[in-house]
Amino acid sequence: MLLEETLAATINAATPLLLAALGEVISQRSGVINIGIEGMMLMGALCGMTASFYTSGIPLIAPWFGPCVGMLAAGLAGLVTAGIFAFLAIKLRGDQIIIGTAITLFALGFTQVVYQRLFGSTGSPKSVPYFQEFELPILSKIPLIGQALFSHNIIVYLSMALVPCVYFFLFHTQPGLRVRACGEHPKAISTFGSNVVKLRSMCLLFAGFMAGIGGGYLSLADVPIFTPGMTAGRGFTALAIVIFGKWHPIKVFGAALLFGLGFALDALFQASGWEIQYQWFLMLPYVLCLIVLTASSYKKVNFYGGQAPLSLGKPYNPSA
Amino acid sequence: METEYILELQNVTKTFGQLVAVDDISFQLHTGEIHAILGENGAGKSTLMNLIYGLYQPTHGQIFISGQLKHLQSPRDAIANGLGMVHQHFMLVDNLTVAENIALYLSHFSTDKKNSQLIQSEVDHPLKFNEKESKISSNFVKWRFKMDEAIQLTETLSQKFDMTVDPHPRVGSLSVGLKQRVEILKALAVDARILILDEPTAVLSPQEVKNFFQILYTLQEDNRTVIFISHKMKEVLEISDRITVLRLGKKVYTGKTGDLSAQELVREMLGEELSDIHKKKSKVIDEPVLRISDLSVKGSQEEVAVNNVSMETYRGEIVGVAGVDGNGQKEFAESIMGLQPITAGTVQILGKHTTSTESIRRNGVAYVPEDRRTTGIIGTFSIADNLMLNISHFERVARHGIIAQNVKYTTAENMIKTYDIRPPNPNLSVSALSGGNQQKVVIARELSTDPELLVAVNPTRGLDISAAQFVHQALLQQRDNEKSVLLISTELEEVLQLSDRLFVMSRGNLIEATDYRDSIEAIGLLMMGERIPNEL
Repeated sequence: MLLEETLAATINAATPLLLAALGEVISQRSGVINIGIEGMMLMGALCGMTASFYTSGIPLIAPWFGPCVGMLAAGLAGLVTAGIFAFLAIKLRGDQIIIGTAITLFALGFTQVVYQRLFGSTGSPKSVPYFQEFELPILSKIPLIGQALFSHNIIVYLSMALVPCVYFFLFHTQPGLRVRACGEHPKAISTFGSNVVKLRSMCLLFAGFMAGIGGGYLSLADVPIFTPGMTAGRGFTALAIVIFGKWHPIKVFGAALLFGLGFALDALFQASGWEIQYQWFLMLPYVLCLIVLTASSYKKVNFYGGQAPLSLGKPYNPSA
Repeated sequence: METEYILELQNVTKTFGQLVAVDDISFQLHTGEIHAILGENGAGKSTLMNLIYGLYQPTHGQIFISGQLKHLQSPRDAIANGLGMVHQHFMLVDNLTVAENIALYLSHFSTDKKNSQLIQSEVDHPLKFNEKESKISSNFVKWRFKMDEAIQLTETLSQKFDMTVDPHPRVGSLSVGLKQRVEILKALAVDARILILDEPTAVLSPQEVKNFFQILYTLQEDNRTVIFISHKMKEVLEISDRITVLRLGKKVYTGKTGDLSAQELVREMLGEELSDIHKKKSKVIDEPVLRISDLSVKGSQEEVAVNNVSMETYRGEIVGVAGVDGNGQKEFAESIMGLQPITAGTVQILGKHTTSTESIRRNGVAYVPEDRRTTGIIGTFSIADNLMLNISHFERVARHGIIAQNVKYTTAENMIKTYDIRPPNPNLSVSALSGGNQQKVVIARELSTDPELLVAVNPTRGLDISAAQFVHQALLQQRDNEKSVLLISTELEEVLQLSDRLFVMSRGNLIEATDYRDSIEAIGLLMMGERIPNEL
């Protein structure tokens, strides 16, 4: 019983992390370290919830319409935010760390202001139509794990389906090959005729879209409300997942589950009624993050290979 | 108009602001020749090649390929017109495999007949042995990337051109010689008819150079044209059919190889007679300056980089250490300087055991490091600041740790004058200087302390002939002053020319080779870590 609950909660908590991390894998493979994921998730969370709230009021439409529009709005919000990042960091060649941090800080303030203008600063957070969980036929009847694995909302399944898609893209397509080369030696593919600025921008926009959807998951599936700062470090956790997952989609999936477990245990322990201050549990995912990242940077622990793209974080100047 | 030239430049000029980098050069390339371009740094070789390769566009003049006027806007244009370039800094992605690198390159260029200029007017595409192969190569412009096809293509190409290249390993794990082959294969994959090779032998051992020349002959047999840029007179004379010499942006000579002697070619390059290095006979004094016994050092990957090495250097001699890059020279030099921890053995300087870099330097050891840009100088600092970076200079210009500006400038100005650093402006940041003048800053700083021992690693790398000669004179001067010099260099000629005793470093082992100094072949074998057969 407890195992089942933990498993289900882990998958639920891992989904937004996985979505954001898959986008980040593509972005970092192309050489751009998008440290603004946290901000893009927040924008996604707010826009997703708002869009769902306003579209669901319309009569005579299916109940799933609102959340779907919301999810799309969430992705677009992340994409637009990433567009600002792309312009500053790729086109104008600014420092990626500073711009990413600025975007996160901007989004923190911006979402709070907009939320208060739209829904007021007092009273309970607005609840919106959200993605309902449903049981997959047959599979969910498997004893022990059936309920835990196959009784989720549609986004969970879609995000898992994306893992092999991203893997296939990176390692079995021509554009994927270019993305990988772009993060290692952008000058080389530039002399072959590739447009590094365009390629990196596309990758970053994808990362922004995915981060936005990850944020949308928080306000449209996890809990159907928006609260300012609700991402609570999940964007940075996704960044850690990419590093721990060695820039590889399959390994990133594993890393996302591990960190998902951290967030899930936090919630479960809080609900368990143990006589411990709940702040200890709140700390759990972040402490896990510290331990895992420190450990995996040691050679002996890092048995599963992979290294950061050589030109990661370095702006590319085509005329230099 | 029919023409026999595969490439022709007519009155090509390229200016950057006030600077005329390439000045009214006309130049023809015969199909199937190996054409060497000689010239000092700054003579315009690179600019000329970049013009041909489409990286720059000429200010005046025209470029014809196979008799047709071309306006090359980018390397992509040039490649589509049958050019290929092997850069000095390889355009390879280290973290991709050989096959992936070739596929990546090929994917940028369609080999499909309809929309490509590649195959037009050309005799025979190398990928058209049969239907199947040609289908494979055109698949590379499609969306899907198939690893097994990339591997098959690499194997086909390397067989056709007689270069053994394994498609599977990561490029980063290959030797420099193999990386170079991958670069050439890449160009051949899109059927380059003209290959520009920029200083291709700078990084190769004598044996690798031999193999490399073999590849060039294979290309020539296939009626491909090669432009070969080099500093090394001997190699140019050996491999090329014709030679063009550039000086200060102008073409000063073109002719058949063999028409001019090496001496005469140097005169064309420099515009003046180069005084031969006058090397007096050395007076070695029987007093060891550096004594190394049973030294072992580990490299960055925990491998044995220096293996049980013993040697001495005496006053009044230059001891040379030859070897191919990456055989432990860096670790060897750095352990002498106290920059790398020693696993076993001892290093003594004038009979004293020293451990820290500071005490080593205080005992009179100066150091010209391998890479001047990362360890020799601080690019953003001024010349004056760079000149006082070492301890003894700093102590001379500083009182209680505060730098006396006037002393700093007079010291700097004196050193700039003595070592002829140009431009002679102590406030100029060092990164604005040419490579030769940067190295002069390093040499000035290190030698003006009048050291007992000078450890110099690749002191002339990337320098042109006159700057290299300046460095050589400085080393000889040091020897003639009855000091000791340890010269570690990958330039075999330099080591042979300067050193009184000669060692070869190979896979961390140090072998005395003074007796073999007249046999390049024997030294080449030692460099590859092989034994010398009896007949040599």
